[in-house]
Amino acid sequence: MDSIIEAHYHSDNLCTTILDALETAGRNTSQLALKDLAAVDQLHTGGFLSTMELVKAAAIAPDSRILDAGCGIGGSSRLMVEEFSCQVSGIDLSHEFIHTARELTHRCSLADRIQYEQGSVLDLAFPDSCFDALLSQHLLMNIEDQAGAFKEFFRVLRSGGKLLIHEIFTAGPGITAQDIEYPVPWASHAGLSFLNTWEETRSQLDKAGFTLGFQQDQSPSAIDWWSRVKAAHGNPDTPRRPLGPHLVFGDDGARFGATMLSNFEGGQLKLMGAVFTKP
Amino acid sequence: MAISQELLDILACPKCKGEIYLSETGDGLICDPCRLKYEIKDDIPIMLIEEAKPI
Repeated sequence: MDSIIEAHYHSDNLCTTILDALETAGRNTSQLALKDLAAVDQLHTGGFLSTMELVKAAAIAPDSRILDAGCGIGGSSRLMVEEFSCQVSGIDLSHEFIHTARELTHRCSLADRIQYEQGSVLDLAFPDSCFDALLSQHLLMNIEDQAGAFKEFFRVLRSGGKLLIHEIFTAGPGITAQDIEYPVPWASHAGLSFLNTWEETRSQLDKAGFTLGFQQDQSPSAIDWWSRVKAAHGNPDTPRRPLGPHLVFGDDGARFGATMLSNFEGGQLKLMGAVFTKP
Repeated sequence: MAISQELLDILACPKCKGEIYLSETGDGLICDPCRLKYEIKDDIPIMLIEEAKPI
C-alpha cells in the first residue's frame, strides 16, 4: 500500500515545476518568504491559520522538537519554525515531496531548524520519547493501519508530549469511502481512502494511551475554505493562476474545490482539530 | 546541502529503533543488529524498511 500511496502523490520534477511557477508569478526564488509559497504549500483545509490555531491551542513552547508526520512539501514545518521558533523533523513517504520540502526550506533560510527524511509513520526512524509534539495533519486518510501509526506516535513522544490532530473524518458510522465524491486531495478513487469517524479515532487514541484535551469541530470553516478554493481555482472559464494546487496535484487539483465542498456540505465529511497528551 | 549532523544524531533504525551510523562511503546509514543499510539519495536518508539493503 505504501508504494500505491507514494504513486498517488508522485509528480515528475515537482520542485522545478514549483520554482518555475514562482518565477512566473514574480517571486524571488533565491530568497523566498513563507507568504510566497502559501498557494502551493498550505493546501490542507483551513490553510496556515488552522495550523497556527492548533499549535497555539497545544501551547507549544519555543525550541520544542516537533515531528511533522506526513509533511508533504513542508508548508507546516516551515510555519512552525518561523512562527513558533520550534525545531522540526519532517517525514513523508514521497521522495519527491521530501526533495521539494528540503529545497524550499533552504530557499526560505530555515534549513538550520528543519531536518527531512523519507519515512513511514508505521515504522518511525526515531528513538523513544524524543519529541515534544507531533503534528498529524491530513495524514490519516492515507493510513490503513491507523492503530499502528498511533502506537508509533505514542512511542516517539515524551511523557507530557502533545499530539496535534488536524484531520478529516467521515461524518458518521454509516458513511463509507464509496459515499465520498472524488477526486479528493488524498485519493483519486475510493481504494486509496481510509477515513474513519472521529469517534473511532478517539477510541483508538485512547487505547494507544493518549488523553484528549482540546477538540473542535471545524467543519463549518471547512465549507468556507473549500468555497474559496473552488472560486479561486475551480472555474474552467478563467485562466489558471500560476500558483495553485495543480502544481502539486496536476489537473485534478482544479476539481478539489468542488468535490470537497460537496462532501462537506453534503454532510459526508467532518474536519476536527484536537490536542491529545501522552501522560 | 549535505546530510546534517543534527539529522544523523536524531535518526534511529526504523526496524529495531537502535543506533545507526553513516557508512564509510557516506552513501547510507547502517544498522549493525538488523544488518541493513538505509540508502541516502539526493542527500535524503530513505528510512523505509522495505527499501533497505541487506549487508
